[in-house]
Amino acid sequence: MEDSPERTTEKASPRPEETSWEAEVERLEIADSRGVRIWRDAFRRLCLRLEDGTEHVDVRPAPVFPVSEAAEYVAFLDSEDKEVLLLRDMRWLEAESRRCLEEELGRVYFVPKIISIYDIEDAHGAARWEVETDRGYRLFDVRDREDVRVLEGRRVLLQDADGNRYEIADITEMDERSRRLVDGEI
Amino acid sequence: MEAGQMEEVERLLSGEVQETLPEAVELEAQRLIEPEERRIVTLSTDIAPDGTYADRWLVVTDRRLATFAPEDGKARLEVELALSEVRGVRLRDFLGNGSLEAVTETGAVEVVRFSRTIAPQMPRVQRILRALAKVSDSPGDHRRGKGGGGKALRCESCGRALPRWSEVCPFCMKRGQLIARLMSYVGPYKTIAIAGFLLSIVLTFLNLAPALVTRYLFDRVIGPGDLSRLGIPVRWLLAIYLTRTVVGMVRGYMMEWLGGRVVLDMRVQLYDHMQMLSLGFFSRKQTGQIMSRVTNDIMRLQYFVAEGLQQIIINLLTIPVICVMMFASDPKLAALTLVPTPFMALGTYMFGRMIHRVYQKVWRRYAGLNAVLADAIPGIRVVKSFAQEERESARFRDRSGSLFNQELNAVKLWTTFFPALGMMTAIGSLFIYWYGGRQVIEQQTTLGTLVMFTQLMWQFYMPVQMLGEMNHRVQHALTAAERVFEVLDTTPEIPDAPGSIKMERMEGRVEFRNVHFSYEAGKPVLQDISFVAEPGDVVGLVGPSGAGKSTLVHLLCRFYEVEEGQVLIDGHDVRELSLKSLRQQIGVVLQEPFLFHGTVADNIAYGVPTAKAPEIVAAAKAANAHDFIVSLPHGYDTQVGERGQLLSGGERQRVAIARAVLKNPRILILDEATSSVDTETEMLIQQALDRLVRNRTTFAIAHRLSTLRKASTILVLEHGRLVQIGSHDELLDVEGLYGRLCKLQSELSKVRGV
Repeated sequence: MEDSPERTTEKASPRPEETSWEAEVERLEIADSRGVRIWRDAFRRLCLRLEDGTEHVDVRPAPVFPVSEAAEYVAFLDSEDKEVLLLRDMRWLEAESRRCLEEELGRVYFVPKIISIYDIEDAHGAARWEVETDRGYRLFDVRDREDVRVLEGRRVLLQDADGNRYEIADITEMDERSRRLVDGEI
Repeated sequence: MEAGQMEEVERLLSGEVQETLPEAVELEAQRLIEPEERRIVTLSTDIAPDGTYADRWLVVTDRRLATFAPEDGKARLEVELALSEVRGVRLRDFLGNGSLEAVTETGAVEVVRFSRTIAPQMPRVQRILRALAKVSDSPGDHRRGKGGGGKALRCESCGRALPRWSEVCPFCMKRGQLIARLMSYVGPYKTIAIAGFLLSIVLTFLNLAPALVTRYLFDRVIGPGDLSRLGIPVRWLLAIYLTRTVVGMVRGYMMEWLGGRVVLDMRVQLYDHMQMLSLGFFSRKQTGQIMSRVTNDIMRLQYFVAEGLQQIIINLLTIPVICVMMFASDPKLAALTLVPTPFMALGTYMFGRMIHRVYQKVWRRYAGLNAVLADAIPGIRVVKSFAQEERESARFRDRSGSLFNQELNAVKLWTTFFPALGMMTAIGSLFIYWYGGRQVIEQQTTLGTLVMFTQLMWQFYMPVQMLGEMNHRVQHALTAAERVFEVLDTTPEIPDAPGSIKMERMEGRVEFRNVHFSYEAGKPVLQDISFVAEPGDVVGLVGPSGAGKSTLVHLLCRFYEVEEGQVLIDGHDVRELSLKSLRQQIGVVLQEPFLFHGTVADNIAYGVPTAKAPEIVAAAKAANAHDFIVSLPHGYDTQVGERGQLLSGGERQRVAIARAVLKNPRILILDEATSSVDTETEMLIQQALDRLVRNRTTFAIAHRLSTLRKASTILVLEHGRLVQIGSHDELLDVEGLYGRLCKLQSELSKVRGV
């Protein structure tokens, strides 16, 4: 977009501090979170200290683009679900904070990757999958073809009957048999 | 332990949280747990603390909780905690998994992790633990989770999750039973069915007869050169062809009639049944899916009921008859003709399976293409205003291309299989010419027999092929049958209890007593709701979206049943009232009023079809709708179009109010009835509503709190709990959600200049 329209609607927004859209883009692009510290307290709550020294107890990390991975942003929400920090890239965190965040993200967003497929038993779209994932062996039922989503022709996202998620990162990198089995489902 | 606590635990216990421990875990558990301790929960979970899939066993006794990790035939104690130390129990709900944490004086421990498969059991475990440890829930325990997913039904015999579109397990489907059930629909038309079937058999023989006549023609007439007898076979053939045509016509008509008639019955039965089903059924399924059952699935059955099954029987009959004919005239030649059949049958069967798979993919691509259309065409204004026509075109081109490629796969199969099949048939005929020709020349057999064989051969291969193909055709029909029967087998809406009370006239006193409700296990929508509304009260329901306001009124209408507690009207539990009498006295005005195709008058009189003109006009006047209705081109007889789209939003709203006025209900439900209209219309609607609520118990769901000034009671809901209750003024005087919401709204209206 070349000519950006004047943003007159901003005033209606209830936020006290207003920044223009351009300034926000710029801020997001250069945001540097090197000074941020993340740790888990004795009560297993995730705690966060911002660069200005403010501390937040019991925050919840939320991956912002978990599927497309368009950016490495991780949002941190307080107990009221308000954002307290948008972390641009967790690689900038110091080691201990980063380990702690990664561990928490593994809980908040649990999507095992399917490495190979032993069998798929299909009856009109309802299917029982028997697979090996990066978290170990798993047997699950898919209720409907709609729960098997293909992205860019090679990536597959699955949801099983109970709401568990799985992912095939790249069909073409799986073994022949797995590939053939998946092919019947997509 | 106090008696009250234990009672609570007993109430919560169920088989779901008590599984048998495996031997190794049992051994380890016995080393830890004293014999006099009572085991309350023994439950397996499926994720280890490090996030890998592994079994963990949670054991809760009246004294402690412990988890065990089975390892190489042994078990290791992982977590142990005395319940006396527990100060809180947290359940954390994440995408794809969750965890249970116990909080103590000095910290917290993660007790178990579990996938969504186990998650539905966990709230119960949490409540048991709280009751045992004598702790109440604390803030932070109700944090909204991202878990998602539903309570999947599972097949009772194989344990697999049932597909979304079915309540019948496709893995355990019994074909015989399904066919028998389908055939029961033919029952009432037995005579026609049997006559049609007999005609089919006659037709089969009429199809085979010409071969015999041809043999006669060659052996007795053409061979010997007997011109005087030429008329006999020709006359016979003429007679056969004529009869065949007439029988074919009659049979065709009969079968089509039968199929159509059966389908008519099923369709009507299906639709009648659907009208009786609960809202839950309709919210579980997409409108398109439901519609496709009434139309497409039933259509597929038409062919099968009328033709398919008969075809199978006829084919099964034709094959042995031809065999007998062939073997009787020349066994050796007959055996040779049969050589290609097993290959053909097998080939067709395999082809059927392959093409079925390919077509499945083609259909999915079609669905993908349709999705693009369904997305872009209704959204065409957005597409154009953002100048994204090219992108939409590209998306369509892309999907079209992949459909084309997939169709090519099907084409490849067709174009290889059918010529190959043709070749096999041709090879059959080569056998006949090569061996039969030699036989004829050597005068071992007659020319007539040879000609007859070539004719029979074609008629023989046909049914063989069809039988090979039958498998997946039957499968197709049975799948459709299954879906139709699934609907028919769904028990209609919460049936009336025997001896249910028919309330002629209710007062309108509504009471909720400790009501709990959830659509999905483990995701409570309403928790412990209690209040009383006296007849004539106006009750405002306030709260953020998703707080459970609509669910509360759904329970009042008994669209769903409460999980715990009671909903009482005039002191009667709604479950004791007959549904019809209950709903006759409840009027609903929805946020998006739904009008049916028909005239304005039809729509106003929807609840009382017998209403007379003056009643309709009076209702419209009360609803401030009369003036705009008379200015319509055909007055009250104006067609409103599909879903009332020829009227504006505010007009539809007022017609809907008139509809409620005419019904004259004792209890009225207004679901955000004044949102999304301009201020003047809002005023008209508000006036109409004020008239409507007089002398009725009214429940008004509202976002604009100003509309609730007149409410006698306001219920403030948040996260499914009743957090505040009182009149507008009372609630303004205290700190709380209501005060905050009011403040926000008055700020907003300042901005809008209202």
